Amino acid sequence: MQVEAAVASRIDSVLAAHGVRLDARQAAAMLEENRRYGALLSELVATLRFEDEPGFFRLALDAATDAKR
Amino acid sequence: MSDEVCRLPLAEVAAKIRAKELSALEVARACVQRAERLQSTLTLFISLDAERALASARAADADAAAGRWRGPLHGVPVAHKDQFYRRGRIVSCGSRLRADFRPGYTATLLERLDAAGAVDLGGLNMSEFACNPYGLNVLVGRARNPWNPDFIAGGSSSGSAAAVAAAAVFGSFGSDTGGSVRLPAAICGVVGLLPTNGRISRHGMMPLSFSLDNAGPLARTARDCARLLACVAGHDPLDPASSARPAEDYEAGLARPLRGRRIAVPKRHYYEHCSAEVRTALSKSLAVFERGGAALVEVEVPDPRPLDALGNVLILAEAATIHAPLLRARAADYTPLVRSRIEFGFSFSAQQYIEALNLRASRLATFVETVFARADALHLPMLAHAVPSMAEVEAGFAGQTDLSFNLAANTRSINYLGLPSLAMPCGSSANGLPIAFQLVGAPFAEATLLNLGHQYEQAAGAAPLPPLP
Repeated sequence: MQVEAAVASRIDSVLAAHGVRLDARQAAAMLEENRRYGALLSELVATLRFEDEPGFFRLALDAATDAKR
Repeated sequence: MSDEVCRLPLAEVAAKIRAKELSALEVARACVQRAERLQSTLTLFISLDAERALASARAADADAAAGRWRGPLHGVPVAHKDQFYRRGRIVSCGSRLRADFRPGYTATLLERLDAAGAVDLGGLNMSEFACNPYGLNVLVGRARNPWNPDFIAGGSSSGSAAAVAAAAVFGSFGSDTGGSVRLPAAICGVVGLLPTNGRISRHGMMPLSFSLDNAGPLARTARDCARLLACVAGHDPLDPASSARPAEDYEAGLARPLRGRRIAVPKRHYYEHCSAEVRTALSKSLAVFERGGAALVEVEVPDPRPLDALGNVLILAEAATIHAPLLRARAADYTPLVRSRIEFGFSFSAQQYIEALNLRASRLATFVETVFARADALHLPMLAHAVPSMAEVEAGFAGQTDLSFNLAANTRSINYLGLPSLAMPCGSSANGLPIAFQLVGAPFAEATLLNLGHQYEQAAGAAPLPPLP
């Protein structure tokens, strides 16, 4: 609950910095969507190795082509 | 000049201009007249630049008379989504916020098409900031489907597909971040190609998501798409994310027969969500490949839903970053649909965004190993149901009906993986609107996809054009 409140507070402050004002229904929907994405990411990230890094996608495309050949 | 000329495939009209059976000027005049005539019913263009197009066609004829051949698109009329920058021309990006935006430079893609001899008719209709799959546009109204104006043309490259289907131009380019070339192509019954991420320079193309944005051609045949791709593919130092891998002659391999090819068919996750009439059309398209000698191979394809969700995290977080200054300054100039979609991107944390990026390479490796170790291409549906009418979409917005499917459900996962995909028409629904499949390839396998698409057309016949006057 504390974590959810912290996430809600972070989203509120980020949105406010960009001049976005949501009503209670919109805010609840956004928090729920964010929670859903968070759960999905946690599940998928568990499949990564510690040393996997972002930024290698271009190399991954080339490697995948070469592997197929 | 008869409208029949406008209905020719791009490669055929290019050959007739080359052989001086047709002049570039008479072809351009025919297209301009047709585009002007159809504008009131289909709203194909945001800005039709007839004067510039005719001057460009005259110059092409002068060059031809002097023996100067510019390239494989010499004198061929084309037009593109109104988000490719041309120096001095208003490029609206489909938004009130860019209604008077005149870029100070020209997109690499347009420069390469100019160098190949193309005649540019202007900026085609598109969804506001490329942000919806229905083609909704606040400046000029939505582009309408040439098969039936009451139906959506798809999006976000709505005009790019509708103008090609309506035979107002011979080919076009759109952008595809989550399906925006393939969806309107499928919905209007033309061929549309999403190239491998990085195959075409995005320099001078309105950004939506720098990780997932791609430019792609739309035309009435696979050969025409191959011609357009060959003219623009290849590294561009002005787009550091463009691939250093050399471009290919994408027309050279079109004649390779289907025998020996392997088409992957997913065991799960795709066909079971399709309506009966879409499933029937997809089965018939697979039978065409099989009769031609290709082998169909059933494969366990990874579930696209997590990939779709990961792609959404990247698109929304990056779109929010790109649009943040405009949202702060002129939020009221966005339509509520687009504004609320982009604002959602502010809710992701840096960690969540990086996790979504981080997973991309490993998901790609898994997908390629699973699918392309066993087959040359993966056959998937485009829309799972019949193309909806605008009234159905509006009822969905109002909550009166459930739209019942996500238009991008079968496309956005492919953008996340960065893979090429070719949308091909394969029949029509009971409502008279087109049905399509897509062929997804391994990275940089555009030549294979175009070969398969061309062979499909040879066996099944070219897709019909809508019965417009």
